Amino acid sequence: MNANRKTSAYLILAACLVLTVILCVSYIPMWKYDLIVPGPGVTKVAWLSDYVPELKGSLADTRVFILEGQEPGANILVLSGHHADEPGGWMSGMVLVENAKVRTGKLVVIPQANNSGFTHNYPQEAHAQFINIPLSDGSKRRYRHGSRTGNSAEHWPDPEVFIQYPSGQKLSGDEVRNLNRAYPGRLNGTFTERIAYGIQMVVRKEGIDLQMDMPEAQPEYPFVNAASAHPAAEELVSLASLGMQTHDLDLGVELSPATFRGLSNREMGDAVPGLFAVTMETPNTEQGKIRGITDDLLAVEGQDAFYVAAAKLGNLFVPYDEGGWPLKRRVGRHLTSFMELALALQDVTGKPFEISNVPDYYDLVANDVGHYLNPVTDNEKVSDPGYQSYPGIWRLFSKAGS
Amino acid sequence: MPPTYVIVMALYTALTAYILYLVISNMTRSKDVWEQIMAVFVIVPLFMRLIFIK
Repeated sequence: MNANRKTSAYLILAACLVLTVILCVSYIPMWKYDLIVPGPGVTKVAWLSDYVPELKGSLADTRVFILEGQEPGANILVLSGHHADEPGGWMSGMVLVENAKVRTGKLVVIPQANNSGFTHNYPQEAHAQFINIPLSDGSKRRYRHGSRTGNSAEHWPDPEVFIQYPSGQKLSGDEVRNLNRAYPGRLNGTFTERIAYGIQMVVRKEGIDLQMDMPEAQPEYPFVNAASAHPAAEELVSLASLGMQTHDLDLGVELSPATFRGLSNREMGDAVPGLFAVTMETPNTEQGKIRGITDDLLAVEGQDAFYVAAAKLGNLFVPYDEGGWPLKRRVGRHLTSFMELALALQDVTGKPFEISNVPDYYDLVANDVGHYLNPVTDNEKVSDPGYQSYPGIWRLFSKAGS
Repeated sequence: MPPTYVIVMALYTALTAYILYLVISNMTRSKDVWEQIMAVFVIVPLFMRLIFIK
């Protein structure tokens, strides 16, 4: 009898190993950096580790695209991908990198600010690991669809209570891996605080005037289709809200609360004198808690019958019909907000910023996102770092080492 | 000197290895096959964590 149980134990152990191998094969491709095809406006592709060398070889390292005009002017930083499960945000950064041309001033784009978050999925959300975007040439681009927080394999254990630095505010333990609670960051802090510190160095070294952050939120969340601004950016974001109305788009505005710490707009606005820091939010159905089937199509098409019913009952903070909130509408809103903020920045500071080739909301709705992604074939500017860095002990085997 | 979080992570990795050892040794001694099957839900995540995958 015991001998039989020994046999079953070893069989189950073997099954565990097989399961582990299957899961490894499934997860490891998420360590590979997404392919990006920079457009003609990109003058330099840097890495976060160029600003903070201590990040080299870790999953914290991410690409920093610089689009510099011929004349000096205002400098704008677009931060997207704080949360890798908010594709409307990071896809907006990608579209800017692949299309925008700057004539005056400088645009810095970090499309995947928390690269570590792109290397795994958020537990119990059943999100797809990858999403596919059809391009106008018939091909498809595949992107990682990650998690709100960084990879726990790189940064663990989570504390019971996360004490935010430097405010000392207490937040739930897993927020220790949330980049948008880690600002302003510190070099000798947690893994996520080191990323935030890297971004702070980008802001300082590039002389950024306006920092725009592009997250998403559940349709039932009160703060959505809205902008949150550091108090110093109040006038700027109010002007942008008026500008959005010229496109028939509503943009709610609120000031970032002084009692909610760690946010990019609040902390960076406090830390860097003269910086205008703003966060924009669009509705993302797949983050919502009353959604139905959750697959890769939901991330792109954003249609869900439960949300249509919830809207009819008046339970949402955004209009929601059978068309839902597809990626093209969310990216369109973010990019139109970006253009209006850039215009407002010129009005407020007098610093010129001229940019072209940025599609607006109606362009995106008409042509879809794939129309604004460059084909990969025969393109010499493709940025495809592949497997650049790995979590934990695997970092020893990464290209850069550490 | 590595950052504090790396040292803590290394200590917890050692702890994970020890817990994994305890779970596997208990599983091989168990006389209840369902108890052995339930161990899968502990062994696989711990093993994934031990090798820094997820």
